[in-house]
Amino acid sequence: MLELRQVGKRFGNTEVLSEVNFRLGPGEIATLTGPSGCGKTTVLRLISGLEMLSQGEIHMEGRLVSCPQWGVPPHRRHIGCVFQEPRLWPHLTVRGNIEFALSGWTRNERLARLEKVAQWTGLTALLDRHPCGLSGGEARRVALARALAPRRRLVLMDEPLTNLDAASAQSLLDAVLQAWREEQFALLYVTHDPAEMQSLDARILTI
Amino acid sequence: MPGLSNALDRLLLIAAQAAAAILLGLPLLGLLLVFFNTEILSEGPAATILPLGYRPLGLLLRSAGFSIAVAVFASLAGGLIAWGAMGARRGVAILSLALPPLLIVPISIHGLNWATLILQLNDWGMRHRVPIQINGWAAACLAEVLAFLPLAIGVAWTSLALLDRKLLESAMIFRSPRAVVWRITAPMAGLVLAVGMGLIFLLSLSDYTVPSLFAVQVYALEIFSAYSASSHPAGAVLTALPMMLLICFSMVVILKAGFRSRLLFHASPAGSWPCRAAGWYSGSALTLLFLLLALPMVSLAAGAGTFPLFFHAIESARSELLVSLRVSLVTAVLALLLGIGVARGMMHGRATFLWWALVCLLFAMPAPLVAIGILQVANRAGAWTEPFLPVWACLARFLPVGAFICYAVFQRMDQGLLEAAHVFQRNRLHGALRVAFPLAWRGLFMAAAASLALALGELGASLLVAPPGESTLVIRLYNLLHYGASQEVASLGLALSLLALGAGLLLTALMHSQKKSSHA
Repeated sequence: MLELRQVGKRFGNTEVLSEVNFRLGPGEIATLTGPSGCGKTTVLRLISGLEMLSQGEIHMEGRLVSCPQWGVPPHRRHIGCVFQEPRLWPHLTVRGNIEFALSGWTRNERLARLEKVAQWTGLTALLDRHPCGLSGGEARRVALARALAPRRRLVLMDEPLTNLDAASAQSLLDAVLQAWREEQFALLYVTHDPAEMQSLDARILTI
Repeated sequence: MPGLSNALDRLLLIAAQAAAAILLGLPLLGLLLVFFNTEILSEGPAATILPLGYRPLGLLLRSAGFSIAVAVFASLAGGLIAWGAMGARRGVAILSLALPPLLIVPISIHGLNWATLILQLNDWGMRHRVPIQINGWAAACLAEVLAFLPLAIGVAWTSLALLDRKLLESAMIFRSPRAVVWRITAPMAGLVLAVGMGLIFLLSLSDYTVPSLFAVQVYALEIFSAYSASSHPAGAVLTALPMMLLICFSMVVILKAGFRSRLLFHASPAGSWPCRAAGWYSGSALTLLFLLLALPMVSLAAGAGTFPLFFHAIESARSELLVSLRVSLVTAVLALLLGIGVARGMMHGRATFLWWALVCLLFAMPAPLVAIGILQVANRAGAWTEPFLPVWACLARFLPVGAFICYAVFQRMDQGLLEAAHVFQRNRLHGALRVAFPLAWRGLFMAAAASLALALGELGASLLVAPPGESTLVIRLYNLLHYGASQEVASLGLALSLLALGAGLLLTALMHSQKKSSHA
């Protein structure tokens, strides 16, 4: 599903990553962990195509998607992504934010899918609100719903539960696991919270 | 001594607000005085120019249409150029270097430069029997669009640069670049673009200098003519009323959009611009930006003739040059100092509404009307006020701009950081100097620079209030353009543009050096 070979990244003269290697199979969950500033977020940005590689290669479903000086554009990689911050577009409602990811779907398909992800994430009553009217936990639910909505085979999550209270974090994690059980996407989950790693019960990759 | 410092801060604020209230309020009072002295409805000349007839209203509609066209074309072109330039590899750096010098050249000077170029082109066409003649409304529209283009590019650049890049990045994961532009970038930047378009509309509506060069009658000129021809200030005030109503209505719409747009922007957008444009498009945008800077300069340099002629023209306008520099520098300093006080009045306190009303009214007032208001007060006060009138006219017109910018700067400051300073500061002054000022200085500097640029190019009010021997360079330039002294016009236009460009380059260098040191 996903393979990183000898991946490295430099920003100017600073080397932030070197020789990162791992594989993630279809439907597999892996947690990526390491100390603050070790480059976990950079790995996700390289996989999603928001940063160019300095060395190595990234393959998805057997296809080369990134090498130094070249990369498939992010929207052609067909991945879902939850960032550290919710990153919701303020001019769109919750519905608009989620539907943005459903390009090429018919209206009926979109409605059915929206209903499904809203049910997973408990957003059914909030679909017509704007992001400025959401709490921190609700905004994170929307970000999760947006990543899950387009039914991608690979989903990246970058510390999606940061700054949430224990109960909200657990319910959001339950939503992630429920969606994963039903759709079996590959999930690369960045965290340094041992409790989250335990709940996910997945292979642990350390940088 | 926290008590003394707090008292000093309060005293300075009250002094600044009192001075601003006098400088802004007296011209309005002067306009009201007009009606106590003139029997407007019984006197012939004033009664004939009451804006009730078909002609004035038709002229107002034509002028509004003209200004809408200028605003739409300039904003569209500005948006496209800014988008293309930002999409180039080093586009943001190039824009941040090229735009401030272009922006500090006063719009009226840009307008006069482009008008000169168009007139030269027409001349060349006549001499070589080439059927290229741009005249009348089309020529005035073209010259104004080109004059406002740097401002439009600046607004578009600001609207894009303030967007949270993380939001654009997250959109790029899900959809193609085109969808990201139409669904995310354009709607988010659109409100600021609309505010910029409104601002260009207002500036164009109250300007008559460029249209008058192409013998195009606009409503702003009608106000000036109403006063110049009859010396009846009441007639001019009544003539201006419909235009002021239109401007006030536009300002309400613009301010509402401006307030809504605050929600869409990030306090401190960081990271590189994520949206790349096609190479040919970025290249074209950067070329147009370069031409915008170079074309009028080359044309003026060619028209200025030899070096001795150029220096002779400047030497003969030496006194006007010095007056312009003095007036604009004093205006810039006062607009900043008083603008801070006014902005604080607009934010807090019981008189918030009054400050907003005063600032908006003065901003909406056509330049000749500001001058008439000032003259009414000055005539009653006596001859001692004469030397201050040009600065007063510039302040009455551009202090609102300084106040708006200061207000925006204060609004964008991170309140969390200020609250933290309140906890730890020794006294208000300590907090203001060590935390608030370093956070705000760049924006405050912009307020002073904008006031300087606007004052340097002020014409509409200066024409009426400048005492003998105190004429500004723009007045001389404007008069020369009407007399057709093309060599002198080119020389002075070039000198003024180079002066403003030099100041702009200095400003840019200062901003960049500060940015580097703060990053270090």
